[in-house]
Amino acid sequence: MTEKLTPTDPARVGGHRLLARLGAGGMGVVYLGRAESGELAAVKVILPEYADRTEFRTRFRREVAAARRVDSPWAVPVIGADPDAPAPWLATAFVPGPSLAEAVAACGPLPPRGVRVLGRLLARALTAVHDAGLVHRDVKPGNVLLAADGPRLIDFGIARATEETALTSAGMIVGTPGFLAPEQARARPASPASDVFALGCLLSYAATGRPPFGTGAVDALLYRTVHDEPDLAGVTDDTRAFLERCLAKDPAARPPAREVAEILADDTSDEDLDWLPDAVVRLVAERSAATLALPDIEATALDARADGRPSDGQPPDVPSDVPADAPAASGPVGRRRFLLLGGAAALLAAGGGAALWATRRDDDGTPSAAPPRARRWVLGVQADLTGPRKALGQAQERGVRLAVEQFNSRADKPFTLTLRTVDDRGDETRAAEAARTLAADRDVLAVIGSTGDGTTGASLDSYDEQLVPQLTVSSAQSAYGTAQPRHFLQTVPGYTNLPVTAAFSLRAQGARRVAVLIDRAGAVPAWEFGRTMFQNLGVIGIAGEPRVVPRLAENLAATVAEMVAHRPDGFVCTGTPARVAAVARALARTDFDGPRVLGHPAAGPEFLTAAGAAAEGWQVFAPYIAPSAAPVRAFATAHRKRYGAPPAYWAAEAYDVARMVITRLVEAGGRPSRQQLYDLLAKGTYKGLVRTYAFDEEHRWWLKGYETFRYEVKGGRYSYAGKADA
Amino acid sequence: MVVFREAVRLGCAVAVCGSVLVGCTSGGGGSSGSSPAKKAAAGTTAGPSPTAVVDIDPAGLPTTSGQAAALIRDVIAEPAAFGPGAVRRTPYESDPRRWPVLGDDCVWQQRALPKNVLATLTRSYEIPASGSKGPLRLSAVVTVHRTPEQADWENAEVLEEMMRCPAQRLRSDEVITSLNNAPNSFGESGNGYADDVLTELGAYTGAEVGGPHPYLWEQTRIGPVTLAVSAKGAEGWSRADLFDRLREPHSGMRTRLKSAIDRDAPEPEAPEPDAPGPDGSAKGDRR
Repeated sequence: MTEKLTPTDPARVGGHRLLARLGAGGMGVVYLGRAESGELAAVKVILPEYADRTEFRTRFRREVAAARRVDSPWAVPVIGADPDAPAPWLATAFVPGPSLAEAVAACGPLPPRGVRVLGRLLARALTAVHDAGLVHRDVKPGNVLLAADGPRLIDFGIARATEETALTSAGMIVGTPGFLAPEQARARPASPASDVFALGCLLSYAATGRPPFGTGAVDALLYRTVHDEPDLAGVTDDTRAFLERCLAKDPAARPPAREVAEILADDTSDEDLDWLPDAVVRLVAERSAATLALPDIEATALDARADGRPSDGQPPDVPSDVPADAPAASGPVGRRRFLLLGGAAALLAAGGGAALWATRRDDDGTPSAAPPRARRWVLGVQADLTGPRKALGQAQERGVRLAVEQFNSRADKPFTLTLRTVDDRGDETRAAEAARTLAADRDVLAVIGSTGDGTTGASLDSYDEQLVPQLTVSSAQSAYGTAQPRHFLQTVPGYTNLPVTAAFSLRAQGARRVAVLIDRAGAVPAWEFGRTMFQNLGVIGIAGEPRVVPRLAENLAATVAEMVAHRPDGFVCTGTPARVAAVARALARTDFDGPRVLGHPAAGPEFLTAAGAAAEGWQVFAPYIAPSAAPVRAFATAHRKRYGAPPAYWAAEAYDVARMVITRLVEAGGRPSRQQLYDLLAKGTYKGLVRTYAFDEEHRWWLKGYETFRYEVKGGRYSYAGKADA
Repeated sequence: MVVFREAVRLGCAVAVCGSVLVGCTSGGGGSSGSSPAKKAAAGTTAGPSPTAVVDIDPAGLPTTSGQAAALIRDVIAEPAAFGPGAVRRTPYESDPRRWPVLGDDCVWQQRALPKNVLATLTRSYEIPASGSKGPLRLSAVVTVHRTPEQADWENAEVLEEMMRCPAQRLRSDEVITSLNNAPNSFGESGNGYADDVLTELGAYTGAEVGGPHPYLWEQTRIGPVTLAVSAKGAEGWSRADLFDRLREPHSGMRTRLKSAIDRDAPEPEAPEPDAPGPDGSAKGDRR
């Protein structure tokens, strides 16, 4: 929840270019800024009129000096300050993750072990703060941000209003009611023990989802803090005993922060993200990625087409989804953004239901209330049925056909759906023709296809011109040249979205230095997947070596040998099946022994054949579920019955998409126009067998969510290893 | 310890989000305008064309530094190609014995030209500051490798460097940050005019003009030659402006290169362009 800069905000402070407001209070504003080095910073700027009060600058200078002495990986470092400026400012490293408040609001309380690990790490941060001579005075869930490797305590003890002004008027309380220690509630000076009390409140909030003294009217809250016992219902016994000590009314009875850290120590490593629930880890990844996507590039680039961007001195448009420390409002907790190049981890969120149209018009002007005419309801399929991707194309066509036939066999069907299939053979020229043909058929309501990325790109404009909703099942590029389709939906996690799961999995498998080889022969999908993977690994703290091999390169083995010489403990390769197989063979000849991942576009039978024994152990993180998996068992049975063969990969996904289209057609309550159908599809959330389908608000055709399924080559086959969610 | 690899000049990064390849279809004119592959003369010269973009006689490609340097001089843009107001900067041309290399510390340094590069030249131009606009700094680079494969490696390294160093120091007082690139080989995403196209976008910050301002680097490969144009923004220049300014000079260089190495090219040198605006030698590829 950042806000745009207002016209009165400065454009730069202390060498930082200001991008957005993170928050504001009586004393000044906290901005998101970018240093000249490119680093992001939280820049707190004090209003001059406040700064000129007696003693303020002296105290500020002293506190900044103290903050620079705070030395803990779990407390954000000070990266700049100028106490002597007319508007004094302080810059700390910006943490792009969500706050603990957001995480608990979105994902629920933490499990007991998570609470203890969080407590230990924050206690260490507080120890460092106290050792530097500071008192934080505002430890609360909003001031704990979650980064990829642990929490970060922010906003400690600097330039807060003095206690004399506390409690005398609304909004002037120092600290946050609900987390204030009793002595603070009584306007007595805060001490390190006050921080420990607040930590106790924070941990009990993390454990139960409720602050221990409740919420509500401030004066009642402060009263309860001073007089009542904390509400620790639901906290496990071992943690409860220790929390009661932290929440003692008498400051002297509370353990110092150092002791808190010792009490909570156990023998597990700090860096394990296992202590956070999966949903929180995803939230962290998404938020981190969103911010590190360097929003000003994207905003500027997207604006470049819309306007000439005159230099009017206004700051550039900033995105409004850079996280702040407020709890998330209801609704999606974050948006999908590119991870640097374009892939963002989108958090699956339940969007609104499908709109039910109260009024509708056919696009040829026929009143919908008229008696049913003999007009065909046609669902188009454009697929590669006989070309290089015919296995995928045929599987998808079968999935769609089965859905249509099942619908048509309903006794109460409101219309009969006709399937019209065109084979583009995987050829771009044919794809453009196929699209023109289907789009020109006025009875076609929507088209599912094309199978490949190139053919999809070639068909976009034809469908878009005729407003035909086009949905892809397997084409997953984040962009198709400069096309800006407005009736297009990708029902598959993009190549720039999906790698985050693989990155987390590699980390869980112990990889810490991953080599990433991107073969240009694999075209845009290989580039997008590999580039995003490299980026995501960086975001979660894994060092990597990126290597790009050109199409014209002949000897991949030499590159592989160079990469292995740097002793990676993980390897990722994207490209064509044949070339990735060559990499696999080369890798098998080295002493590399760690996890190996190939980009899913290359993971077909050809890879297995070409790589032979060297394929063993390679992992695939794919957007398609195994046809034998439980969620699609009924579909597989129906498929076998109808076609005499089990479904191939991608059939279930196509089946889901066809059923989604059918559902929206039925909901429309009459024949919708193409535009109306698109709006129903784009705005709706559809729960399919394989995943739930909802689309990104900002980039309308991207799928929200990145359900991924893991496979591992065993015995010369792709063995399904289940859903991969970090 | 800082390691220098045979790294390549920066490519331009294109954010792959949504519609960012604005202006990158600019070169599309080349595909329809350039001379079609002259298959009629089958059998008159040996060797298949090493590029799909134009029919090249491999025997006509430079094999010595001298030939490569001459080709470069025919191809590289004049200031006028960048539009009205564009002038030479000082220094105008790079030292031909050296070229820039990106170290592991993400700092660019000049190094001796490696053996597999026959010749390279960088020219620097500028549209001086005027009114509310700051000075726009431009460059053009032409590099001739021994083989198309080696030129392809140059492009691969541009992408590696962008990943390895999304922020790079150009000079002691200039940095580029937030680098992004979306490469497209011939036939991908409407690229019909070069074997490979890299468009790199980023943010440029310099002591003189402040920043960050838009930064754009476009690089294409045709056969064994890579061509690049770049723009370092300043106040008053939008990203769209930068794309606009780089379109003609880049297209002009591609056209001259194709003409120079086309199988049926009558002379080894193309005439010096002397008129402002896009080069007249273009066969109808006006924007």
